[in-house]
Amino acid sequence: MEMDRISSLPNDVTEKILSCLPLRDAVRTSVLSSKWRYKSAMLQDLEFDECSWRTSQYREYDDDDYQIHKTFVNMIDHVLLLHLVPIRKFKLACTADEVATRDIDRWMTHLSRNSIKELIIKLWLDHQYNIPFSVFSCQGLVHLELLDCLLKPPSTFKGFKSLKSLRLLHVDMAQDVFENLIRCSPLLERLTLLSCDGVTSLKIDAPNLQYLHVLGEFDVVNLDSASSITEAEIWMGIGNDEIGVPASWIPACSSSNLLMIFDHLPHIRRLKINRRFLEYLSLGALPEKLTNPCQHLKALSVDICFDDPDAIPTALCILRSSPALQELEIEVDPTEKLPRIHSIVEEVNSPCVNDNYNCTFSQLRLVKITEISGVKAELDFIRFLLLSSPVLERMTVTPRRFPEPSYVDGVPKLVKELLQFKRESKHAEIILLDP
Amino acid sequence: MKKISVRTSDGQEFELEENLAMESATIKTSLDAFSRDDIILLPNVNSWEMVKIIEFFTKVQELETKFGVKFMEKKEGRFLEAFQAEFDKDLSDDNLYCLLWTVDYLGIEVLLENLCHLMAERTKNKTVESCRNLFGVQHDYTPEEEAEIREDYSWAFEGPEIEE
Repeated sequence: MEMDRISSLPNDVTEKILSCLPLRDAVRTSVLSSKWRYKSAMLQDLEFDECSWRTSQYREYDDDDYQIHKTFVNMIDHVLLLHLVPIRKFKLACTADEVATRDIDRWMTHLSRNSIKELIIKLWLDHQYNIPFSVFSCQGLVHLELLDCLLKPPSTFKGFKSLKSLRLLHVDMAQDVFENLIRCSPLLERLTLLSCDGVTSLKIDAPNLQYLHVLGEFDVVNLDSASSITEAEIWMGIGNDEIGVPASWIPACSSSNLLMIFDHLPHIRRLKINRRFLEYLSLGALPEKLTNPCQHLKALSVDICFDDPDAIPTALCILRSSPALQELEIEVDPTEKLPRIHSIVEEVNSPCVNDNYNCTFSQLRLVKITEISGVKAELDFIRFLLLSSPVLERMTVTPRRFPEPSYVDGVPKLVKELLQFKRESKHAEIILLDP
Repeated sequence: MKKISVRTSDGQEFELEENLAMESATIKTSLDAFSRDDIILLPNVNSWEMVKIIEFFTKVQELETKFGVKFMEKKEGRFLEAFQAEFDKDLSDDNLYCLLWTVDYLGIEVLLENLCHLMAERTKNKTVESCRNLFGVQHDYTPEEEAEIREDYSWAFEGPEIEE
């Protein structure tokens, strides 16, 4: 057997092996032999995660907080100081025990001088961490991910010219800061924006954006300048003190939110929308079909409230305009419809609001319906899907865990009914899952 | 599907499915340069290693069917665990090194990632001495040099060490 075979493995292989280890173990390899002395100091990606650090330190959880703080900070300072190559990726995930704001500021200053490409900061501190100006000067950034931070860039900030992926969770920033950040990062392809207070208007100017995932209470959604989106998940919420449909949601006379959104999603392939966003889309004059069909929409996931008379027509409009649809997922959401307190627009009752839906889903293979109670409207819809899907392979139906008292014995009845429904597709399989 | 023939260092010949063969950057380069009807010679690859590589791709296909996930496209955590549990069993430490070398030479990215993970798992939480034994590394530090390194990275050497 050849001795020391592993040391002479190519550098990229040993780097791969070391990068799979917790940092502590990777650093300890420096003492194996002289060939290993500097391998860990040449790792390009560094992750400082409180969890993995604690485990590898085998420390008891009730250690002196100050000691823990000192050692974690100490470790990061040491690693950065002794590192031999520019750091490509830096991830920091920690709680208030481990670090003070000035420590993080210091590390950010260091990284900003070293052409960092990926920066991930996830903090659970007593207060939001104010991202220092040094971060805004990192023009080499390709991926930025922040959790629980405050974003207040300097007035000289002109965007991140290389940024392709941005993920912001619980990040506070002003509306204009958000719009500026997106508009001035021209290469942006992926955007995740979840629960970011301060962003009330989802107006996105990102011509190269392909992936969008948002969650928030938005006054308006405007994707006019984001027409390259192929995958989107939009979860719209409403403030606790709102008593009805917000005035800002209602479109101008004779226009339709549905058309305004879908006119600018010509390349959409996967779409997931929640109940409130469907409600937002249903406002305005509802067409039977979209002006521009979604030629590429393959997978659609939508939350439908079967008690809301606008929900089905809106969903049907999308379905009718998606000739390539293969996968459909519906979650029944019984949340009550928002009352219309600002009735400004006269809504035309569309011709599709009747039982004769009349369309064929020529590519639909998989359907998943969850949280059903067994009400007539749900069963009608299922029956309609079965009759309109000639290539359907499988439909999975999952009842609600705690159905309304009147439907408590609905499940066995449901099973019987479903299995008796006529199916257009000879090979269709209906599976009833446990809640 | 076209089959590509390869010959390993010990003279054994194998027929690989074309899409499997193309996973190797090295084989792909050879195919681009020469005719696909020729046998590709792999003097750095042993037959038992080729068997293992074919076994890997077969297992990938099995697990893909079982979990309904395209392994090459996504790296699902659950899938990786299942894969590693199956592939780890019959591979001795020595064999793992040899395979790492060979797979790196052949340029099979996805298998290389998994083997590196396996190797990393085997080194976790080991003492320095047992790591040296595991890798067959020659200890060439003087006591002073070693003490200096332990001092430099004191935070990494504090705390209880696990004894094998």
